[in-house]
Parts: sequence; C-alpha cells; structure tokens
Amino acid sequence: MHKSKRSIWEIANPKRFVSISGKLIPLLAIVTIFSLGLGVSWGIFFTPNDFRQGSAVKIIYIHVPSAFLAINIYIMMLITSIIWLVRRHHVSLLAAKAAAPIGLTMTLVAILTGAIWGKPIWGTYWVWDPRLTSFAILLMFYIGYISIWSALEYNEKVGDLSALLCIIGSIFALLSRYAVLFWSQGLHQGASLSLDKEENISNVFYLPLLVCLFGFFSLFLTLLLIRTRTEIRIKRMSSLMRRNSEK
Amino acid sequence: MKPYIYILSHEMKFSTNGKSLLLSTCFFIIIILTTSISVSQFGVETSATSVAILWVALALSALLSVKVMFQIDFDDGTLDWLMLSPISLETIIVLKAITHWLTTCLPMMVLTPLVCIPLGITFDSALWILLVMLIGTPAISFISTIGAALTLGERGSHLLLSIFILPTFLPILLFGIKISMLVTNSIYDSSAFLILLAISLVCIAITPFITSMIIKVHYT
Amino acid sequence: MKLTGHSLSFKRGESLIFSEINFSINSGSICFVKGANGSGKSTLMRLLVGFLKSETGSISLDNQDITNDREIRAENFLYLGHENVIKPQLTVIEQIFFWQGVSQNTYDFKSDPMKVNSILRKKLYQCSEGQRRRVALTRLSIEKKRFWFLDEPTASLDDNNIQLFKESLKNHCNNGGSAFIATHDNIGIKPSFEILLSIQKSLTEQNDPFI
Repeated sequence: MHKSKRSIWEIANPKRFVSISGKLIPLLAIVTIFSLGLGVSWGIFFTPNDFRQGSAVKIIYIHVPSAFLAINIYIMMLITSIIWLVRRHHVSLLAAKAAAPIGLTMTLVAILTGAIWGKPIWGTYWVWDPRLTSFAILLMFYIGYISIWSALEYNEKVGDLSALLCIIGSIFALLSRYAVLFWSQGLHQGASLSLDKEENISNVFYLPLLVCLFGFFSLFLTLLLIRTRTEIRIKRMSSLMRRNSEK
Repeated sequence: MKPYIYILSHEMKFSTNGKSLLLSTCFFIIIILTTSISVSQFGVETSATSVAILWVALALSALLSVKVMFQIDFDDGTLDWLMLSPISLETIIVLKAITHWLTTCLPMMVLTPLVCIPLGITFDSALWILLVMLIGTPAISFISTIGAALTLGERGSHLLLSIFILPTFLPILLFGIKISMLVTNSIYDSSAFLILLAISLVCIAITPFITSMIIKVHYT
Repeated sequence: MKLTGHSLSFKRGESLIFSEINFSINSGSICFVKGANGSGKSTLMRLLVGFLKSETGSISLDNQDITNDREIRAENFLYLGHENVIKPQLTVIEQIFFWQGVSQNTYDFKSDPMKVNSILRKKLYQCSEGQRRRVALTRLSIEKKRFWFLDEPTASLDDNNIQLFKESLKNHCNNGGSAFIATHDNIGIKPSFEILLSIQKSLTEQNDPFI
C-alpha cells in the first residue's frame, strides 16, 4: 500500500526504491516505536476496565490492529501482484513476497490474541464464528502463497505463478467466506459473539485503539520496507553473481 | 468422430490403463474405513461427522490423480503438439477435467451408497447425497486443473499442490457437506442446492481460462 | 506461401538469447538453424511456432501478421522438438490412429514413408530409441501442414533412416511445403537459407534493473 503515492512508478526502479526506503525506514521506525508505545501503554494502563469484560478487554489494542492488518496485507499483496502482472515491476512482486510472512504473522497474532481473549469472555479458546472461520481460511491462503515461494526458486515464471495464485486465492477465500456466512445466518446471536467492537465502543477505548492501529500500520510499513530491501538485495546479489560468471 | 472425442477417449484410456483409477478409489475406501473404524470404537455417534468424512475423503482422493493431469503431456511434448492442434487449450483443459471426473469422482460416487453403510447413513439419504455430489464434484475436478497447472514441471510437488488446492475446495465442501447433513435429517433446502449448483457452474466456467493462463506462463 | 520473420529477438530473464533474426522462406525451401550448443536454436524454434513471445519484431505469412494469431499457426505449423510426443504404453498403431483422429488426416500405410509397418503392433516402450524417433516422424506425414519446425529431427536415427527422412522431406518440399530444421550437421541436404546463431555477449548490465 506504500505504492499509492503520486510518484508511484518512480519507486518501481529497484535502485530508487532502495535509496528512498533507506531514508524512510529510520523515520518510520521512530514513528512506530513512539505510536505503538503510546497506544499500547495508554490502552493498557490508562483506560478503565470494561464493566462486563473487566481487564480482558484491553487485549483489543493488539487484537484489533493485527486483525486489521492481516486482511489488508492480503489485499495489498493482491494489488501488488496485479501491478506485477500488468506492469512487470520487480519491486511490486518482491513487495508482495515480502509482505506475505508479515501477513501470516499478523493472522496468527490475531487468532492467538482472540483465543486468549475468548477464554475468559466466551469460556472457550475457539468457536466457529464466521469471523474466526474467515481467519482460518485466510491463514490457509497465506500458507499456500508462502509455500510457492519457498518451494520454487525466484524467477519471473514463479513470480507470475505466485501472482496468479494470489488472485485465485482471493477469489476462493471470498467464496468460502460467503459460504460460511450463508450457513451462519440465524445460527449465531450476533453482537455478543461478534468481534466488531467499533460500533458500540466508547471514546475512552476508541482513541488509544486508533493510535494502536496507526502504530501497527507503521510497524507493517517499516517491516515491509526492510524485507523488500532484503529481497531486492538478494536479487541484486544473484544478478551480480551471474554477471561475474558470464565474464 | 470429432478430434476431441479422440482426445477424450485417449485420456480415458490412460487414466484407466494406469493404476490411478484403482488407487484413488482404494484410497477413498481406506480413508472412510479407517476413520469410521476408529470413531466407532469410542462409541461416538458417527452420523453427525460421517457426511463430512465422506466429502473430505472424496476431496483428498480426487487430489491423488491431479498431479499427472498435465505433467506427462508436458514432459513428452504432447502438450506442445496439442497447442499447435486445431483444438484450443481451454478445450483440452475441459477434456482433462471431464476425464478426471469420469475416472476419479465417478467411481467414488458409484461406491458412495456402499460406503454409506459403515458410516451409518441410510440408503435414501445416500441417494440424496449422491445427487449433491453430482452437482459438486465436477467443480472439484475443474478446480484441480488449476493446481495441476500451477505445479507443472515441478518434480515431487504433490504436497505443494495439495497445499494450494485443498483450501480452494472449501466453498464446494462447505455447501456439499451442509446440504448432505440436512438431507440426512430429511431437510431439503432448495436454495442451498441452487447456490451449490451456481458455485459449481461458475467454477466450471472460469477455471479453464485461469488454467490456460497458468499453462501459458510455463511457456515463457 | 511465404513466411517472413522480421527482427525477432528473445530475452530470458535479463539475458538476451538472440536478436535481429530476419528470414524469408518461400514454399518448397528448407531453412537450417545452426549454432553451437546454448546459442538458442531450440528457443528460436519454439518462438517461431508461438510457444514463446518474441521481445521485438514480427512473423508474417504472405504479408499477413501472424505473430499473435494462434489459429493460422495451428493450421500451418508443425513442431517436433526433442521429445517424441509419444506415449510409451501405446502400440505404434494406436499412437498413429490417435494422431490421425485429432488431426483428421490419414497416414499413408501403403507407401509408408517412415517404414513403420513392421513394428505396428509393438508397444512403444519396447521400441528402440531410433524406432521411436521414426514413429515420431510419421506424424510429419500425417498432419499435412505446410511448415515444419524440426528440432534435431535426425537425432538417434541411423543412416538408412536418415535417408527415409530425407525422402519424406523432399516429398514435402515438392508438394509446396517448407521446413525449418535446427541441426548441427548438414544431413546431406542443401538448405536454401541458413540462420546462424551465435552465443550472445551478455547484455545483463544494461537490462537488469537490479544492477
């Protein structure tokens, strides 16, 4: 999503990307540390306990941002994959490749914190709530995407395959999600099991949550830039090695 | 005879000549027997999960014969030749999927009323489940072509293929299993039937184009 | 019919395989594609039949651009690569019947240009390498296409069989067909045109965005 700037195709050049991101990373890292520190400590220490859930509610400052990222990182991968297919910019493909493990981690964090939260509130670590099911589905497609990269060596063909896999994955993930929703109609009691807190959340919780969301997003950007740079350098290294071997 | 009849019969001959027909059907029976035996020893009510076992066993067994779908043709140059034949690649993919369905899904469906006995499903429900399978399984065969194409040229990528493809069966499985469960309880949800049919038809309609795109990637 | 290629080039990844390939082939003529191992002979063949997309340039048939026209290529082009396009489980005659069925043409068993009549009932996995290649070459006379693209067609053939192949090639040219043959040695045929490929000096540096 870092690509939605005006100078969008300029950073498509790997060298340009490395130099721009090199300047951005320290800045983003500071912003991340500051906003995450502020958001999490504000959320955990300076907000009142929920009258029903007690202090357990405070896990939302980790849970909600990671869940938010888990979904959006997949969408970002989808967009960058399409950009790769259309415009053949290596950086775009490498960004998708670099983002996948972050997305997987965020999905796992969201599921784990959700389970920890669920135990005191629902009395169980896991229920087959449509939203939980969707995350399980998302997890599977992240694993599929990462496994194609780990199984096959980097080249343009595998890039195309992974991009197509990402698109196919999102189609089937959506289909599965609606299949889940179709059957859960009338089975669930909605709000009490729903994780969607934004509607009935009060300002006291909302502001630190926003800061946390921002912090997580900037954490993602930092990690993504670092990982993409690493990928670019790996690619550059193999290009240089090939050039040397050709001489 | 039209050329595609030749291709279909050729494909059929290979799928039945080779051991894959027997193997995947045997695998299907083995999965069902092992799970129902192990579940039955604990005195657990089988019928609740038996439908799910049936479908998942079918999906897993269907995956067994997917890898060879394009691999052999890709290796011995037949795919090259077919791409320069008057028949379009999409048609060839459709023929492959039909062959897969006829040689893998159909034998398992024929066995379904039989394997329903150890699973504790009545014969009447078994016939209904057969109808649901008839709607759902063609989509499984068609979606499988995507996996076969994705892992083309990669030796020993059976596992990789299953990792990609099994999650994409989920929409079909979700509807298939749920409708089958309702049917065993004598609830006939026609709208769910129609949605399963719709998903199945959409998969059949779009997968040949996706698969041909993927195969063309292998030609660059 | 005249097949023309105009400044074709091909890149794999960031390395250039060949560039500026020009040719013009009339009916009844043979074109040799020559070059050392790794100079891109097979790649050029696959590019000409359309399995690979050329980076630049175009291919045209009678002044009609067919660079992206699958149908016209499918109608006129035949490709035989290193693989024999045969299924080892089949007998020779089953394989030939299959080709006949799909291409809706027949093999002339009476004249039998590739002399396969004696091994018709033999399973292909029992055949020797040379016999299999011979069976693979019968496809040339079954499909009746104008342009043949043959990659090392005489590999593993003995002198007698090379003679058979030359006969059927001559026949093909007399009937107005043409052939592209990627080969190391002149098999006693005088080509009317020759494309010489050389191993390209790498252009990695200027094309690779990562360096």
